[in-house]
Amino acid sequence: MANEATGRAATAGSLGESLAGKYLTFQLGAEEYGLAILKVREIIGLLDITSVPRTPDFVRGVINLRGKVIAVVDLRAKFGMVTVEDTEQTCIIVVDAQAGDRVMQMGVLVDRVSEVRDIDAGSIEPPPAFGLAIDTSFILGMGKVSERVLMLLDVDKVLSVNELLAVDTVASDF
Amino acid sequence: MSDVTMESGAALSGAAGGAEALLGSLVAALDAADVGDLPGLAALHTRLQQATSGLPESSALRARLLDAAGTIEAVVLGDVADPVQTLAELAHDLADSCDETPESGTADMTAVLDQIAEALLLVEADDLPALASLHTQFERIADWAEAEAEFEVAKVASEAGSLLEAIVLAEVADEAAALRSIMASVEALQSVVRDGRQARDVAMMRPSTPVAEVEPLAEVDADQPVAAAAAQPQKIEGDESLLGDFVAEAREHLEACDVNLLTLETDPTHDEALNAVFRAFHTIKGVAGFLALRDVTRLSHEAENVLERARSGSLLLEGMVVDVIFEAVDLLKALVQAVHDALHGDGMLAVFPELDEVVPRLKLIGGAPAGAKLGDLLVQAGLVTKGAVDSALQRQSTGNLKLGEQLVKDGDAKPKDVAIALRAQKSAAGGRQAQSPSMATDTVRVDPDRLDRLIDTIGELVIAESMVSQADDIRGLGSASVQRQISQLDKITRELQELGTSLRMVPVRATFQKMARLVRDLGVKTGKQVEFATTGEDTELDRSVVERIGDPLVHMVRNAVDHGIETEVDDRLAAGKPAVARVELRAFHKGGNIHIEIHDDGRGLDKDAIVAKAIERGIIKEGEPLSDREAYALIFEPGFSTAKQVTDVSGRGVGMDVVKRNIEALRGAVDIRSEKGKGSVFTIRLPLTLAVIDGMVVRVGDERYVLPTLSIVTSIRPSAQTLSSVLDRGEMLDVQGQLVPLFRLSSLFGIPGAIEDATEALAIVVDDDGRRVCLLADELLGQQQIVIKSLGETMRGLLGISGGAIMPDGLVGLILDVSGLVKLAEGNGLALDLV
Amino acid sequence: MKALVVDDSGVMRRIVIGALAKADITDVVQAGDGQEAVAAVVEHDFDLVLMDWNMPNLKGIDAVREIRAMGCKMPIIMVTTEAEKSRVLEAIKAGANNYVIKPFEPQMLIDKVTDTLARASA
Repeated sequence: MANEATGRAATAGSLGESLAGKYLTFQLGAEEYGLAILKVREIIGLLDITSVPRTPDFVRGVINLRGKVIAVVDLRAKFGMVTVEDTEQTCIIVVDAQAGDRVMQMGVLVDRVSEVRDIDAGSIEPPPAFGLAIDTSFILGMGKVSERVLMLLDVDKVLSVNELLAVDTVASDF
Repeated sequence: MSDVTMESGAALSGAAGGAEALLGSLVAALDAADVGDLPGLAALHTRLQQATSGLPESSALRARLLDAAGTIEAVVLGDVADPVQTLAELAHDLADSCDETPESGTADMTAVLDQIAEALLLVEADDLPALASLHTQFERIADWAEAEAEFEVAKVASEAGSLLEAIVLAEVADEAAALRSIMASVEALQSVVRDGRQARDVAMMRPSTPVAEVEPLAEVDADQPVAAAAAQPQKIEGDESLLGDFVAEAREHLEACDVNLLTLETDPTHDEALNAVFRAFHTIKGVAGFLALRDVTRLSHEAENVLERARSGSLLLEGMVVDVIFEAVDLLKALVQAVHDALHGDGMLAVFPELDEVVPRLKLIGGAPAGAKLGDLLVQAGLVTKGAVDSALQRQSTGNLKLGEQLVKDGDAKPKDVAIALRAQKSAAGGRQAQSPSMATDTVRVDPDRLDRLIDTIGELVIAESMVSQADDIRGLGSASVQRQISQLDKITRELQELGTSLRMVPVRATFQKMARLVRDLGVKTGKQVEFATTGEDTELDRSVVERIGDPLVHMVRNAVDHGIETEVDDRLAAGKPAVARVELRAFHKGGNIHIEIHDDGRGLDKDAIVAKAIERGIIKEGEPLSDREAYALIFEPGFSTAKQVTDVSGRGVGMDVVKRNIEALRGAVDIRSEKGKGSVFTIRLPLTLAVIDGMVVRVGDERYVLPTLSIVTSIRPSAQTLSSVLDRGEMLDVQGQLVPLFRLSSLFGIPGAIEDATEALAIVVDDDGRRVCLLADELLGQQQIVIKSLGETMRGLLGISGGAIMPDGLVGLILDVSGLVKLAEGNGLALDLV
Repeated sequence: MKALVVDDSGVMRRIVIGALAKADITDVVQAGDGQEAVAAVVEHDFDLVLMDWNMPNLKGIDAVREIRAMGCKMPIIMVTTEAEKSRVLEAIKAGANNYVIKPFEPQMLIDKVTDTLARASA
């Protein structure tokens, strides 16, 4: 049975219901994001990342997570934000991403992890529509918590496999 | 019985039964004892001492056991002149004790009856051991009465026994009443035995409590309702992880079934196979019952019944009977798959209308008593209505058709069902006596994830160990003892690593077994008679290799039967070969590799035809000189097929090119030998393990990469003379007189900071499927064994990188894939077409 | 309270263990056939054994005989199916204390276990 922790709701009415729950919040610059806690495996400090050639910029590379090789995606780069030097607070959130019918672990590089928050159905709104200019497809909804706004991420979409291989597909299609 | 004090039935059976069994086993152990085997003797000594623990101080048996223990101690200590003789005597003595243990009293039944009466007063209806021992007492009385020709007494006693059994089995509504009734019988028996009353009076005193009507069990009896309900899709319920485990376990059982059924087909009296198949159905049924898997329960129950009959000797598993069981196995596989799918889908189980065909067939076979009439069998199984049989019988009397033929002619029965019924009838007539030894397995099953975790953890340990042992701080200590301890740690770590790797190895047996089934099915489908044999099933391969070699093997075995074996038996006979063709799978180690060979004694490959076809398909040009091997290898080219007609069996659009690609993906190779008219041998060569390879670590700029040592031919420092550039785009290197294209890893991968001047760098000559290319790197860092890790779904299909490896410093190193690199270079327009 | 659960089906062992857990019996050792069961009994002290009937290597009833022959007295409950019901008495004579028929509700197993343990300690 699919573990639809982030369940994608078709209608705005049931959106809040389907998204309510615990979220791990983190920051990218001034913006705050949320990841459904059920998707999060662990949070690890920044460690040496081996860069992988011929992958998009937002793929930082691969790390050794206790003997397992997992890919790490730089969310700033992924969202087209200005990249910054890593700091003491930079860390990797290891998530379970759904790829087809398999679940795989991936790392998400973020500026800072904040806290785990309960977000109830009432404080969730649908993602804003900016038209074609800004792709918001990987935002499930906007959560309002104490006057701040959290972007609730659809981690499966953010870490879509096809995108990771985008560069390569071009290369092999010559 | 006389010297056993009886307080309750339980005490009685416990002491007497236990002592008997114990003595028996001790005597057997003594008989088998070897005077040289001191640990064995010591163990025996312990057992003898332990055996005395439950016996009263005054017991003669206890004294004898202690004596025996003493004697064995003397043998161990060498205090005995002739130990062999001593042990033999001891065994003999103890055997005598065995015989002396109390048998049921012959003359004085009065005492026994008194004891029973006393026990009956005390016994509680849920004290099963006590009830069971009372049952034993009644059996003894019945035996005694039989011997004394007191048949009425025997009858009463055995009926009391049956009633006790019914209480044990909870088949009695009012247990207290049943016990009172037994008590009354005992009193009557007492009066007969003690007072010599007429036995016929006893008959009046038979226990009378009726055995409760046992409710028919749903799974046994509810076929009609269940069949009706089966049309409704069922939703799976319950623990998902249990269901998942069930799927895995059931699959394992069903696969074993295939093999054992094949064995049974050639030897219907093969007990091990029979028991294994029975147990498979039995276990599946048992678990499915808990998981509320209605269809699985129903089907496995019927299949179990058939096997139970075979085990009891009243049904011979042959021909059509085996076919039906195969059907059941296949359907069960589908049902189990449906559970799997439901688990990973919407939770709804698929509906299988075939159930209503297979279940009645199984019923037919499972329920055919010797001498049953065909019509009755068909009606019983629910395949034909009673009315249809009656009217067929009427019409049959006017014509000269047999009943089965009439039913088929009238359209009331399917020919297959009639055939099965006839077969079942015949099988039931020719039953056999069965024995049941059990099958030997001595393995522990481990969750593969845990195994992988163990191996991963060992991998980390190896890395951590090397980091510690190479740490400057430790080296700086200059302590000889620390160094010794570290090298000891190093040795153990390495042993552990080897052990870990070996854990991943599994025998190819299961894969071969699947092929047996395949060959059988293909034989039936193509109408070819094929005998299948395997050798080296115990040869081990990495688990992941075994998983992935299945498909290529299926394809090749298919090819062997479909294309290799002659269609006409006459062709075989004309070629001086036996009518029954032979396909054989062999596995063995050779030169650090595992070889799997597929032999067939068919018509062999036709080199001319292959070459002609390859020319026609534009794979080669006309007039190219080809060795046999090269010609045969053409069948692995994409778009090649030698089959004159596309058949149901092999013509599935997947060519041998896919086979070759799959095998190469496992770092293996495939090769063909063939002789026209005699047969072919396809050889798959595979590395021992996928997990570990020898790698050369190279540096490019700040990055480092691993190259599989096997693909490296040599490495040289280019000189200005050997370097040449072509059209200012491609570079070539003269390697011992041969011009080899040179690729810079730095430009392929866009790595900054690498050495620009090739004469300052290192050219590594690698082999890419027979073709040489040079890779330019900055320097060689060293050679090491590496454990290959997948980069995961995310990175699959990444050109030029085949995987990752955990390096000794804990970082991930990327493993280069030579043929991918060449493709990459060609795609970038860096490579030159040399032809 | 330490229990031994003997069954050649891993799933079945999990089912039995799950039911035992509801009775707070969590210290459980598993055995996959009669031989393993006997070996486990040699190695540990059990307060309870749940024994399947039909297993490879050594059948449940024979394992019960061996365990009793070693002088072990802990209660043994046979976990049987309808098919073996006709031989339940035989199993009890071999030394089993009680039996439960598959498929069972967890509560039924717990009741049997509780009754059997109470009777054994009485």
